[in-house]
Amino acid sequence: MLARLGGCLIVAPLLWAQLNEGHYYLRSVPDVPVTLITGEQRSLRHLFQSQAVLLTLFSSRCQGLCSPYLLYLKRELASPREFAVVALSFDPRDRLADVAATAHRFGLAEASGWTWGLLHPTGAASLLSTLGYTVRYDSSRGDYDHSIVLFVLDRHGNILRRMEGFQDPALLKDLVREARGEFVLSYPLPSTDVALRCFELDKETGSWRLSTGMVLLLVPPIASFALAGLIQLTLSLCRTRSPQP
Amino acid sequence: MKALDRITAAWIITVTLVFPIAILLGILMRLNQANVLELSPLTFYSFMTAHGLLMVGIWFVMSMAGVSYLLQRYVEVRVWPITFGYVLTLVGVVLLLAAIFGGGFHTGWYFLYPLPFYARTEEWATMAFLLSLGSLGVGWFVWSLGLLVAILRKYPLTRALAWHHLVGKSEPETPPFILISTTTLLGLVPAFVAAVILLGLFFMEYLGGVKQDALLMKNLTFYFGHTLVNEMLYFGIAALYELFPALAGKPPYRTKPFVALAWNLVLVVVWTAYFHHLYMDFVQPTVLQYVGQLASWIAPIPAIAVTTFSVLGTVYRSGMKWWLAPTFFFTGVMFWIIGGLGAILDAIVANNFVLHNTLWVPAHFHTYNLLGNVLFSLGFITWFVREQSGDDGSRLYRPVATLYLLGGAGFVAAFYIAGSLSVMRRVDKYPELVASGGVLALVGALFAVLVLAAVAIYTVHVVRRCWRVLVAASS
Repeated sequence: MLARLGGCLIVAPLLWAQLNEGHYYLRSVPDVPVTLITGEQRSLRHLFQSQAVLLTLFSSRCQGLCSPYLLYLKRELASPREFAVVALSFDPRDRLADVAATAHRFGLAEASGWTWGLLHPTGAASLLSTLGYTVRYDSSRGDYDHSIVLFVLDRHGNILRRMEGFQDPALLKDLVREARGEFVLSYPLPSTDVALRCFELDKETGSWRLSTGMVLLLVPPIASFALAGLIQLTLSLCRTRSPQP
Repeated sequence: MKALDRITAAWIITVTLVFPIAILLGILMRLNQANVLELSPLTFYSFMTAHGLLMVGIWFVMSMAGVSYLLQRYVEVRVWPITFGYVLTLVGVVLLLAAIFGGGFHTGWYFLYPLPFYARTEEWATMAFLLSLGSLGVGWFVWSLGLLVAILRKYPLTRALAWHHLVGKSEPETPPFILISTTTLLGLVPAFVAAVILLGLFFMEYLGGVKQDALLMKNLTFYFGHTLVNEMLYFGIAALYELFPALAGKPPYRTKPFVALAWNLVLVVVWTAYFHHLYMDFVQPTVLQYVGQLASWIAPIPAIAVTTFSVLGTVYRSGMKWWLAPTFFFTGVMFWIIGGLGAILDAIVANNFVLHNTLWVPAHFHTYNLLGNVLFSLGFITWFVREQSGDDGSRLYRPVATLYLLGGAGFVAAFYIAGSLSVMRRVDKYPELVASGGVLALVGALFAVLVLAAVAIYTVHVVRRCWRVLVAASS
């Protein structure tokens, strides 16, 4: 148990920043300037003030996952109702025409519920930092290494959900329900970074057994009697050693 | 013992000054639920957190301060653990108030995992809250150990627990006060150990990102919280056992076998009674739900039965002069029965599914706290003030007793009625479906104003006299 606990203590901080999506819950995103492909200058807050949004970031020049990810979103989200999808380019090399071309390429430039735009370089850094969105320029490839993330923002600009990478469409549906204001249960998935579990589940057989967490509940009463006994013993020894009056 | 007088007076002054503030927070919450006020949800839940934690905290320390003072009748009490507890309590309360009102910490007094990581507006509030709990826990743990050592210096453990009385021996006699104090102090140790484990796990997640098992955290939270609240009531009972017979002009209570049995049962069973807080948690092993059900009956019933018969027997044909102290003790026991029955009803599994998320819960815990445990401590405070100043507060008897008891009874009645109408608890506003909740909240608030008036009068009386004790002892 101690080895496992120690392992968790060492490994967990390394994984935390990337995997703990709950860490971003209710973070408020900064109100940064955005240029839409229609040419309008807007603030980010303006985009979600009337309805919740699903926000994703991309680069028009990306040779990696951006295109398949945007296709995945197009296929799964279809025509958004009661929420909007906002796709913003984080790439400072992108021009408005590049973003508009990307939107046209996916047939979503004029699709209802979809908004395409370009982040202004002055606000991009603070937004990316708040979102926990990692971007690193790889000069050998001439391209960015970056996250693939979908965020649910409420009408006040708070992050309600954060989903990394390609996920089961059922999870994406949960995000959509969340954006529509439905109550969606959220809990961490079973993983190795939980310190002391009350139960261990065998995924193969579906059977479970009590684990160290439950055993830990026996510590307080045992400690109580042990402490009382120890005090009693110490006092008895003190009485024995001290001279009798 | 001047030092003990002084620290007891300091506790009384602190507690009686904080008490009306905590009541005021409660009244503001009820007025918000009645739609008389418009508090933001954040403000409401911050008030709920402060109200709950302050009330539990101040009446726990006051009941323990009372026992610490009375313990000098039997054993040598060292003052430094009490002073240590006082200083760390002040530090803890300052950190707590900073977390709540500076950092927007609003988890409610249960601070159930993982709320401390989310229900806040400033990230540092979580750390401030955890440090506050740590400070309070360390202070109270050292204080408890100090008292336990003081008892065990004179009474070996088996004698302090009156085990020889269990087998029918009557000598050497273990006074009921020593028996109840020992079982309560021993009962507190596991609560503090549970708190230490709980805090350690919170810090592991806060500093290291290691996720915790929600079921384990809930078990530990109630192991600590439920046991602490139960034990503070028993401290109050210890003071009652010590003072009430003398107030009635009767000889002191003696430890009979059934008294020893009742309090030894309390010692063990109270640790498992908290399982009734987890009836709704389907993943809790079923066997623990049965244990919780049985313990919920076994823990309070013997203590209530023994105490009630003792108190009624004492009052019967005693020619008791009813001034504030005996009135507080006597009515405290009577309301303890009512609140205890309300709690036992709620702790029955079948009832719990209907009652647990309703105002029935604040109804019963306000009954045995505001009208039970608090009255036991007020009884001690009134007695202490008379001992120190010679003033029994006879001028205050009618206004304070009438306003407090009438106001308190009306206040909890509004909760009980709302609970029986399925009005939910822990919400800042009631939906149209349970609009009666708003009306009853207003009724409750008005009755609570009577309690506040009584407490204000009483506080002025007590603080002035205890301040003189403090100054005289210093000079």
